[in-house]
Amino acid sequence: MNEVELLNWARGPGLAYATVIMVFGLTIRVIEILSLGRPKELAKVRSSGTGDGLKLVVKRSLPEPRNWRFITASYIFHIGLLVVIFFFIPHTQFFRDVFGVFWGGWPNYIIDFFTVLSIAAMMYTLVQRRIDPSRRILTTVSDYVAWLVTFIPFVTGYMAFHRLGPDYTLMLALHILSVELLMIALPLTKLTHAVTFAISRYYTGSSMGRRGIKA
Amino acid sequence: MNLIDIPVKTLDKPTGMANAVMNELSDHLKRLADDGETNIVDLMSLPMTEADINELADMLGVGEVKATISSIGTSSIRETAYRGIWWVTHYGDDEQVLSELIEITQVPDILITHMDEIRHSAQAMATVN
Amino acid sequence: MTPEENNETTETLGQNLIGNGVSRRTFLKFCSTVASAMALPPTAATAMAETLSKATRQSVIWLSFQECTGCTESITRSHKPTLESLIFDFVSLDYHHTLQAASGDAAEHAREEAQKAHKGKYILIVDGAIPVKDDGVYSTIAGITNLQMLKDVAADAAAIVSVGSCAAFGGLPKADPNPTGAVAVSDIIKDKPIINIPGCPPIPVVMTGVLAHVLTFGIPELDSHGRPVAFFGESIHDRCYRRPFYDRGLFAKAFDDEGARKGWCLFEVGCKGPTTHNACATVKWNNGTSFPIQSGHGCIGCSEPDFWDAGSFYKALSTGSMNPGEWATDALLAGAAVGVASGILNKASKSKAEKNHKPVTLEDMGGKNE
Ligand code: SF4
Repeated sequence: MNEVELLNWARGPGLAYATVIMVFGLTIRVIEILSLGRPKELAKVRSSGTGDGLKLVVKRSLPEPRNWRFITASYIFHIGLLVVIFFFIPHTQFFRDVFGVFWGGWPNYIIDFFTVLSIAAMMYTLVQRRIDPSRRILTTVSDYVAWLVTFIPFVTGYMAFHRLGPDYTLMLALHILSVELLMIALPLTKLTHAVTFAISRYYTGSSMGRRGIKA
Repeated sequence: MNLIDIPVKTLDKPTGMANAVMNELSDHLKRLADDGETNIVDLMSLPMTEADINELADMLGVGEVKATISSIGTSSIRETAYRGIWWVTHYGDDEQVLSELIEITQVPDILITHMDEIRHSAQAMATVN
Repeated sequence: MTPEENNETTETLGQNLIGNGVSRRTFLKFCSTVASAMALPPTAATAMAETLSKATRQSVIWLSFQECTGCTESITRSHKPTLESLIFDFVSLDYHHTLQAASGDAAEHAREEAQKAHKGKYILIVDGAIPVKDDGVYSTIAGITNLQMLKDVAADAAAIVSVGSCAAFGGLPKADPNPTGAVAVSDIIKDKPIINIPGCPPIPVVMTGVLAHVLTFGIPELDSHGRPVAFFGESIHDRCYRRPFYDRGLFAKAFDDEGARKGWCLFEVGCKGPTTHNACATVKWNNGTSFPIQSGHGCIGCSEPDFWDAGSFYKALSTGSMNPGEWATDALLAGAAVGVASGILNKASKSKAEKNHKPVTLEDMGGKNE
């Protein structure tokens, strides 16, 4: 298989399979979580919990002044990720093709800036994970996998865009393939939080609220 | 709409390439003077802007020989003010520049009549007379 | 291309040119242009001219298989003789279906003659793909399958030049679902040097330049797809004059919008320039007049393998070629069904767990009941 065939496969069947696995997996996950319902409330219900739920969705998305370096790095990388995915013009073309909507893209130098920043931030969080003993204990193999499959698309994308590496066609194929890997890992690892973070924060917030605990 | 209407402007400022080419040419000319070594510089293979080419043409000046060949399209051969440096431009049948060369030689090969052709003509003349 | 000419094997190309009214200066001009186009050292032109003129005319056999004749058209098509078409004066084209006057048995006979007379020395040019399904019955000439003819003629060739994307990579005939089992020359012939000059059709001066190079200096440097690096070393995007717009994020979104009128980058309307290697952006077409992107249409990627199967010509390179959106919808429905089913199962086991639930006593927790 040469680089052209690889690219054609990645853009065709590869993308279709990855999409199916991702969407199928995430749908099952979300519906399963929603259908679990709540345990019977043994304590006296103090409030509906809706407000507290929503409050926690927001609150847990805001920084907490603990390890500010680590938190800043995480923020940078999450924002960078969203910017790069949704505002790099070739990516917007992909979404326009799939969803039929175009929300405008940002110039390449902005995307480039966020990419470099995100790569640096991700490396910093990895190093932190290794040197901070409590983080190291908490990190499982699956977490490293999640880090890696998120990191590779950044690197391959950056290399393809800057014409680094042996050949543009090959780099583009590798970039798309690495994204497909990320798509597949999404429902199988903690990366599922990309879609479930709001549900879980709301759940925690509202059940605490119902019990009258301050979250 | 024309290509010139498209607001992409190629950089048309002298970039200093003309000076670089002049250096190379002076080197070549010295070799021609010392050992009779001929050389050709292909201007199309160099990253030269329109302005660079004009600048180079100005630097080289105009000599006393000017020849035109009409084969498929024309070719123009001009000696520059520096004797032994020739400016050769080949045009296609629609005036498009096919190649643009600077030859450092006593006379560009393309001007010399080839012996094969001389023999052929000699024969032809002999049959006519 | 008359039989007499074929027999004059002792006559050099130089002598032959005079006979054909091609002046030596035209010849030299041709060589200069080719040398410049191929980025050869400029002094190579004279050497090229001398080598060519002293040699006897190279015998060439041109076989056309599953093709549309566009490649032959591209190289010969012009109302006046162009410099590119001169290459036909430099070789002895001993067999070419479309161009030869002879037909039927006489034509096939000419091929066999040339094959015998120049055994091991002729250059074989092929345009068109070769169907191999069902022993290649889907395309035959004079009752011989293309597959058989290629094998026969290639066996005695010095080198093979695959002209056009069909011969080089399978092209249109090989496009999905490929009903005739079409393949490229290089899929069949493994023991001969093969030069691929893809393009649908290839640029005339590229064909001419490569042939001239083969005749004088031998086989040029090739890339991993067997393409001469001199012409296929860079992508269209690398040399595109609209590139500054790409870098600034200014794109035409339709063929008739503001961006299109302003000459912005054509990526969003499907340009495949970034992954396509060819010389269109520099050499251009129709004697240097223009090339697709300059005329307002994206590059379709015709000089790359399997370009027909790389999705729509009008969708951006960054989109999926198999409608991922539709797959996603199906997957969503299937996921929902499975999710609901497993939700019901979970509910069942949950209520069972609830039924079996016993309150924890202090004893359970290791405390003493005093
Ligand atoms: S028009 Fe095509 S080749 Fe030119 S810059 Fe845009 S994407 Fe690249």
